[in-house]
Amino acid sequence: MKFIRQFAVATLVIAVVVALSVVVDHLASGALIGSLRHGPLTRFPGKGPRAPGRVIVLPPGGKIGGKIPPGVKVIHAHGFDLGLTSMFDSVNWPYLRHTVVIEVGVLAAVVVLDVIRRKWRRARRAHTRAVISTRPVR
Amino acid sequence: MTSSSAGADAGGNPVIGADVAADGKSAASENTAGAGNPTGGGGSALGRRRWVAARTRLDFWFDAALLVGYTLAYSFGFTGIAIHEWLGIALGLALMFHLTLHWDWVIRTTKKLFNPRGHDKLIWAVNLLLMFAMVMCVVSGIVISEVALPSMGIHPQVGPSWERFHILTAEITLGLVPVHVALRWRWIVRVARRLWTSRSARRASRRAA
Repeated sequence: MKFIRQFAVATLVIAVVVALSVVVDHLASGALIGSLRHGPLTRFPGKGPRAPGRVIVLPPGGKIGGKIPPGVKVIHAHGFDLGLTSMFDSVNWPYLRHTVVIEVGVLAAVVVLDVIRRKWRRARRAHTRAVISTRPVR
Repeated sequence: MTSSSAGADAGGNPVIGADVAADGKSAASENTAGAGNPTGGGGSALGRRRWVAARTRLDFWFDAALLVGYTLAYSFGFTGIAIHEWLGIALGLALMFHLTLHWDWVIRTTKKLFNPRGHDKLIWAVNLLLMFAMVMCVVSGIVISEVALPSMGIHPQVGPSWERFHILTAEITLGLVPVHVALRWRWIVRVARRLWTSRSARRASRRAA
């Protein structure tokens, strides 16, 4: 019962933050979430030149409206197709390594600072104690 | 992530043989006696010291899973878009569970915030910032979703600002998550050590049997 009560409160807090984020985005750019619609249709307006190698991910059930321009790759995404193979491709490992390096770097820096701060506090306390003990007792 | 340690750290020395749970109470009062106790519960002082409360184990492993999940989710180029999105949604749910598990700590620390002797002010501030950043990151990620939401038949039409917002909040979380973890490094080391010794003790007792 306590867990459910706390879960409800936590959900409420998160809902407030969600509302805040919508407000922040609205104030920042004036672009709200917008309307939701079904049956996506991706269109390529105009016939101007496009940068080659552009990738367009089509959501499930999505259709291409019009002719696909040259150099554009269309991927039909499926909701539960997790694309696990990308993880086993060694070309993609640097992305993970990059994240881990940043995390470990920040973590180590904070730990080192914490250790230094604790040592400094301990030394200061020891010094204070020593000063008190050397004071003549009246 | 590891705010459960607040009770152990802020409350001074934990009781020997009993763990200090997330709300600062002795875990012995929250968990059934002998839960996870390789020595059979009660036992000697050494045996009791090896005992790791079920709640502490849950906190430790759940937080570890959250950290791994977050690291994977951040590495967008590694996971691919589908795993990135589904993992992000799962992290959002896990975040709610994590916040619920540590709600007692939130209340206790917030009450002590204006106390000059309160210890956890920095951790409280970091955690608050992280919660904001993480929730905003998950929300903006859901809004700009290209796989997860469309697979449910929802096709949001959003401007580029949500994408920028998602990237910004993700970068903030990448800076804050390690700080959040590192501020509890002593608790992590302590629990990891005890889990390790409890496991080796369990193995030894199995071998002896």
